[in-house]
Amino acid sequence: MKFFISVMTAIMLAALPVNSFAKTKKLKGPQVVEIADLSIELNGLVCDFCSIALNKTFQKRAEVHGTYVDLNTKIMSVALSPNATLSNEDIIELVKKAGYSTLKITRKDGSEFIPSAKP
Amino acid sequence: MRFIATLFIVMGCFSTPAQARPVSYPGGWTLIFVNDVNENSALAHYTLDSQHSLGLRVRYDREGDFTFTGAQINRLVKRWNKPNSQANLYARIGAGVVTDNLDSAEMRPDRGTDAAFFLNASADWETRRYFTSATAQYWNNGRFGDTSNFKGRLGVAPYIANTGSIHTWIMAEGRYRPQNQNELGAAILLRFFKGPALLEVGVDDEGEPLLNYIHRF
Repeated sequence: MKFFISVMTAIMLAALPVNSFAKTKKLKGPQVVEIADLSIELNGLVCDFCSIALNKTFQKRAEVHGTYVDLNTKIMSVALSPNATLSNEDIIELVKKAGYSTLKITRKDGSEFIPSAKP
Repeated sequence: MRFIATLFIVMGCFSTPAQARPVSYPGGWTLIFVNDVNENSALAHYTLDSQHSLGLRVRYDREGDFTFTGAQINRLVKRWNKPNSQANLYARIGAGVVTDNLDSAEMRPDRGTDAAFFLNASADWETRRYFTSATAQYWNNGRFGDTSNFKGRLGVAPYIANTGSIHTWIMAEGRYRPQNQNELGAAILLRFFKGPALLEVGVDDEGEPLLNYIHRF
């Protein structure tokens, strides 16, 4: 059993984000709303753990410059890096990966996308 | 107080302590500390994907006076995301060793080390105003015997806080642990929640303190 626990510990330590200091600093907070390229309406947002999951999942992508999740409006604002884009499919997949579901995606140009109820 | 505890059980509201969300986001780490009349425990888990996390757990059983050390796998069986609510169904399984905490001078027939495992199923439903959760748990503690417990929680947020603010919850917990001297119990607690940190402070019907903490990385 000690061996098993040692192996598990080694796997988990290897997964630690030790190089996270080298990553580009992403923009956080309500100021992202002002410069957002994407507004994503979400299902299932009830607490700060939800917003953390979404922020962390999106901010791993190079295309993403900043994020902010507003629990009151249930909208996630995403600012993209210069010349970057995220497809609707990518957005829906990232939201799903974080554990939530997408109601509507609105882009800066005013275009909207409503995913089908059942993928 | 006994009536309240019974009421919880009759309602089927069996809940888990601070562990209602044992799976976070892929690549995320979570630390969980639970301290109540039954146990002192620490759990660190790493989320592999949106449905699974893997953890290491150390748990001191206060009633049985032994310590469990082992690994556990958590699975989010199903999540229901709705515009104003979220509900989850979780399963957990863990295995490890149990060791007594007797000093070398004490001789008891159950002293020593043994293999152990546990099974746990839990569910929760919450809005930003109301919370309820339930759990059923079975422990096979080797030579220290089997235990099972059922817990239920109801909570209400006195105000609705936005992202990054301090969220406050008032919660009541009922529990049933058939192997305990006091099978039924209840507790009242306050939950404070801000960003990646969640703190629960409470007291049960025997005056025992309850202190739980979760941090997400």
